[in-house]
Amino acid sequence: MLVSERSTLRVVGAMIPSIVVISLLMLLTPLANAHGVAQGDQAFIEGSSGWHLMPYLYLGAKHMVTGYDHLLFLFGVIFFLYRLKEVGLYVTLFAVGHSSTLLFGVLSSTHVNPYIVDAIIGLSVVYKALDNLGAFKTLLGVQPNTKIAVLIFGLFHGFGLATKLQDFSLSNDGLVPNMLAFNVGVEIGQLLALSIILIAMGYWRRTSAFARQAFAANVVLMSAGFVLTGYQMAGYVKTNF
Amino acid sequence: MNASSTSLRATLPQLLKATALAAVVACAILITAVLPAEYGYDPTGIGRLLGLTVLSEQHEKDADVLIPSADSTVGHTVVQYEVPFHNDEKALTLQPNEGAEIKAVMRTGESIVFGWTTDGGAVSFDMHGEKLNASDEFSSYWKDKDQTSAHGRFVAPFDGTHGWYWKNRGTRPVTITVKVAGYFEKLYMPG
Repeated sequence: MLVSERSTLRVVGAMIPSIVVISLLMLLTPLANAHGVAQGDQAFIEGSSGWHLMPYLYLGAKHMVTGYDHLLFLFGVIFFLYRLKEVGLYVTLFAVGHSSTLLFGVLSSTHVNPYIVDAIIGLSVVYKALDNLGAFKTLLGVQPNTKIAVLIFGLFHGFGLATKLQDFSLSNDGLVPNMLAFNVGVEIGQLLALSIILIAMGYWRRTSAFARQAFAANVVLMSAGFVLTGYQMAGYVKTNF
Repeated sequence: MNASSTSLRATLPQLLKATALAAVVACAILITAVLPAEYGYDPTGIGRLLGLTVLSEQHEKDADVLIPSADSTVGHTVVQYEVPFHNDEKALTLQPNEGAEIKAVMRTGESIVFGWTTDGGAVSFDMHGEKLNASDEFSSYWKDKDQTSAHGRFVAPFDGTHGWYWKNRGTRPVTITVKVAGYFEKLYMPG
């Protein structure tokens, strides 16, 4: 009895630093907007036609840096990656995944429901948190290939990015270069966000408490994924029923 | 590449407890904060206590102003205005690839009926408004491509300048004539 109470307290206590790290992630993005591009930017996109490489590049980068759904997933992916080479490999797989569906979605005018795709993105955060907790090894007895998983979830994140661009009835004039610029901006924003996360993780991992807090951090991450999923599902229900 | 040595290996009871905890916390955050603030759905009343529901009410209000529904006229059969009624008409000619604006100065709640037509050529347009002293920010109300006319009624959602931007994407010059009647200060072409 006493032991279990103490261990509960310890889990709650251990959660505090990870809550701080995740809150910091969100504070970095005061304009964070999981479901779109800011209003003023929307006015720009709709009012424009022709080539606007730098503005689209900037919008892509801004969307990534302020899109906490993508950031939380990346945070989960690199949680147990210690070597820069591995970080590079996984992030490249993620980029290949989301670029393919971003380009495919916009070019083929495939319209997926933004609420559904954002709910799946929320679930990708839950998946990665469970994966980090070793859930699949415990439940299934095998570790699902983490590289394939990051690639597949990258595909869903790309559809999410495509719906953001498609919200704005893009002009056909200059569509391809503008979309490519947006894509390049997404990768730049991802690298920027990633470097901040890596620096923070580097300091955290060096503390002796990290091993203890890692479990709690992934529970917090899973909870954040559930919140994102619930938020988007509620939006779907509200707009469709 | 040895991920297993660095990742965790939770036991089944630990996993169940962790997932349940994550789900319960997520539900609590959703029900008390996210849903009241984003969608105005507040079954516990905690969102209202925390003052979060004002956020979703603001959303709905913005939507009402921009897309006046038929119901919004109930109880507003007569609306009185300080500004005298008048009408005005302006025309402009756009060369191929040229764009230009005509705007009306209006205060919140003032309304006009309007219509514009071209002398044949199709243009794209963006009906929009800027707040007084706004730098580059504007709100779009109605946009379309390849049109030769547009008609409607408009209620100003804020104090500022409201009007049309047209662009001639064709190969021949197009003349656009706009007529406005109602309650507005002046119709002008921004320099």
